[in-house]
Amino acid sequence: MTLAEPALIEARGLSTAVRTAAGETPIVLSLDLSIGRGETVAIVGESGCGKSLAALSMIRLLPKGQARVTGGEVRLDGRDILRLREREMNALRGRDIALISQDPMSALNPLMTIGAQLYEAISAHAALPREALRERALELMRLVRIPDPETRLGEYPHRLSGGMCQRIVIAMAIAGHPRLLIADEPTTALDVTIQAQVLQLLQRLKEETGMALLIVTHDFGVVAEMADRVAVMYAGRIIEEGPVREIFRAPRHPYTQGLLALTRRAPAGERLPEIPGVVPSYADRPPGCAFAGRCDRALDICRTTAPARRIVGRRHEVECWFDGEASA
Amino acid sequence: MIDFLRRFSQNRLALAGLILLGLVLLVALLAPVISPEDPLRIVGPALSAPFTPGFPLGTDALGRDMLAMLVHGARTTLLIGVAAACTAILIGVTVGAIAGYYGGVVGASFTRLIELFQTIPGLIFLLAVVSFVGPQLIFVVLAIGLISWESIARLTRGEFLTWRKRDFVLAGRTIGMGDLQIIFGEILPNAIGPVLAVSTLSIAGAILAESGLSFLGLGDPSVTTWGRLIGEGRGLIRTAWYVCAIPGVAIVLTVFALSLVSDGLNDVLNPRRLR
Amino acid sequence: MSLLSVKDLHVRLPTGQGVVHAVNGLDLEIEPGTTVGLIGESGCGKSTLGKAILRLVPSAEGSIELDGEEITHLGAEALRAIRPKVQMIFQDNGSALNPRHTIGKSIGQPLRLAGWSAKDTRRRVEELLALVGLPADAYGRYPNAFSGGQRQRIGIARAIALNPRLIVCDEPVSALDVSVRAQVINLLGDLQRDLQMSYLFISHDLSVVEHIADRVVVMYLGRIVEQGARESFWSAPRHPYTRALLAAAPATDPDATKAIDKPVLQGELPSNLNLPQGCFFQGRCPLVEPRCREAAPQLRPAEGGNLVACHLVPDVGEAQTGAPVQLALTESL
Repeated sequence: MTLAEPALIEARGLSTAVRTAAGETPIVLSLDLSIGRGETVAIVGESGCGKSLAALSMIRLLPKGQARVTGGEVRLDGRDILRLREREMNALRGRDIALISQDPMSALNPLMTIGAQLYEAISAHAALPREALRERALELMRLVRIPDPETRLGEYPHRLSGGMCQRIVIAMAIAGHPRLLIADEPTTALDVTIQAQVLQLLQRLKEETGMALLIVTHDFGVVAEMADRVAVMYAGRIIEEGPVREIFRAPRHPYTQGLLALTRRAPAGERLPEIPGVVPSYADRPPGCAFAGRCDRALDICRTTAPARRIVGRRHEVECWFDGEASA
Repeated sequence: MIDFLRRFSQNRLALAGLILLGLVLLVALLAPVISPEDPLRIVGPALSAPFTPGFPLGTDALGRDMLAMLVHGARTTLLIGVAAACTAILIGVTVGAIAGYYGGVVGASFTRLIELFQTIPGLIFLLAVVSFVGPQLIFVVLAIGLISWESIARLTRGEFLTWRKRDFVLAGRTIGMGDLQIIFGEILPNAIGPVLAVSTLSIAGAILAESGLSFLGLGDPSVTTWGRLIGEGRGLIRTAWYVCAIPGVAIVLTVFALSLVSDGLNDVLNPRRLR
Repeated sequence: MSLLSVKDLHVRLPTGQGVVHAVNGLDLEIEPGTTVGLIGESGCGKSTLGKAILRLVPSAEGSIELDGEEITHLGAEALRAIRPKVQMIFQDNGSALNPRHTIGKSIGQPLRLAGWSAKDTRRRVEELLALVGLPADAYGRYPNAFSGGQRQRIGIARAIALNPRLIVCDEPVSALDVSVRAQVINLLGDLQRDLQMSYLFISHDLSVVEHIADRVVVMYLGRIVEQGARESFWSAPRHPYTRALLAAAPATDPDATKAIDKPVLQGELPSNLNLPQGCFFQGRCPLVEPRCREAAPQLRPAEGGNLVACHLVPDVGEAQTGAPVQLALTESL
């Protein structure tokens, strides 16, 4: 993949394994992904495909003792952050990269006021006097459109709704002016109306601050609304990647095609298109293409040899032996 | 079940506890074989030291065989412990299940009941009951059961509070199950694991309570228990320490074994592993 | 005659903070063999309504008739007799099955309770397993051996064991992955056609409801704000809330309007501890007028065929004045 300007962050051959009772199980397999400055990239896939693990690996936030990066590199401004010391990495988090997670309620400390948590997030990047801290906290809360921020400062998380909590989490994440915000299923726990509010908020913040956004989601609707580029993950690998319009218009991988068909509204009374079967377990990953068992076009080679990445369009790449067009 | 045994046996301490407990149980079962005569019979000179020929654990102040009294004491002591623990489980699980399953007034009043018993000082209550109704074994057992169900009830209530929110409880109601069917058929099998673990510990508690009672001379005079042996030997502690020490060691070992087993059960039956 | 007929239903649930007014005067009819989709934000009372119909929570006022029989106040014994007619499918398939029971026991439970012999029950359970597309060897296994989609099939098998007339489906596919979701929706569709059941399909996922529901009902704060048949509902939504809800659904096409440029409904569902006077939607409605704060609007037929509870939506025949209102709505949202 060639970029006119160097990417903000770029993962090459990134692999992650999870520790289980039976030993280490590789989940994410040799992942390549780059995000440009101010770009919005979405990783989309079903539960268990390794999308969250991949995103967490990129910022070294894997749960300690449960999962670890087993190979590859992640370059931020050309520097491999996987080789940084923990202290250097901490300095980087929040200032260069920030994360918002799926469950806003558990991301906030129930025993601390909203204000105290915001102050903490702000102080992590800048030593400010008390008055300035408060001003900055209020500014952040206005930025994420929280009504009546002065009152909210003194309140505890349980007094706020899920949507409001997610706004606070976003405010804390952008406190250090990050250049990349990673949003792991940011709206999954929220109602459609609140989801629309949060998505709109994220887009406005992006336009105002110029930060890049990596969205991890299972919802092609969120992808369509937000992303410039999308990477589809299946069983730990990116099986297709490209500009969002191109992927929606001409998906190449049968799995992408199947997922997109499911996203589109089917005429009432008709059966929905199905993807038969289930995702293979990581413990017995098939030797060839991981999707071969569910693919109605699988050839013999699909079951024996893993397909290599092919370039099929401008910045559009796919891992599939099948060479036909989308609608073939 | 096989999985259960395998995981339990992986815990070495628990396994050691189980073996120790098995030995005590074996001794208790074999008491009539080891010493077929009435253990309270006077058989030799008073206060023979242990390892005297014929009396491997010596004799007490009246010349009774310590070994015979110890093995027969194991029977009654364990029996009292188990019976009292069963009483406690019966009361504790019932009250705890009702307090946890039902909301509203019923649940609240049973919860208050648990809290009420939590505040009663156990030994004093025990002394009061025994001095009021007499020291017969059955009253001792019931009284000990009555002071030790509260911790079981609290745990059961906690388990029921979590499990009753599960949708399978609602699903049970949608097919017309009664409350009893839901409590015993649906929730209890899930809740019973940790309760059993604590119940093992309550056997130990019951043994200690009975020993305390007998030590004070308030136990049933017609049976031999370890506590009573210690109680009778307490005046001789300076001259013949072994009269107290031998049953004392027996109690310590048994209680220790029970708590090891309880810990092991807790690890294995912890329902979080199943979820 | 309707299979289910709910009239002026009120459900109030006492909680630590006070009484939650979950359902506030709601009428609902479900015809035999049809699907009614129930949509609304979480906390709008849609799940509570489902539970009230199953008599899992008590109703404070109003009546529920099933198959012509008034069931609102039936005693435990009489209730047990009608239980087989109405069943439920749950959202959280992990929690809906007892982890200590085998699949065979779980599915067989309703049959055993209905007095079936062990042998007949076993035969019927095996039949049900095949019907929902599960392997026969599922019988002796425990829930933790199955995936989410399979567990949902088990829940469905259990619900249809006694051939119910109505199934309340409470977010049955929300916890499932997209590819599995389609399998379960198709299964529900096939079963409905074969067994002639009715569904009350509760969901916040509009595209699923659009696919499956013959009639759609929108709830807000325990009341219906709009309802209509499939043909009119999606093409001519009238209530400002319905329109906002439909607009909030994520696009399925990147060329459509992006979130940033879309009119987005502001605010959140108000607390149902203290109900507002007048229209419940007034606090978030972009078109609110003084009269909305005074009287609660009743459901009336509107142009296009839906029933709408909004003062601003004109009655049928006054459509001329309707157009500017709709225009204003789209602009101000």
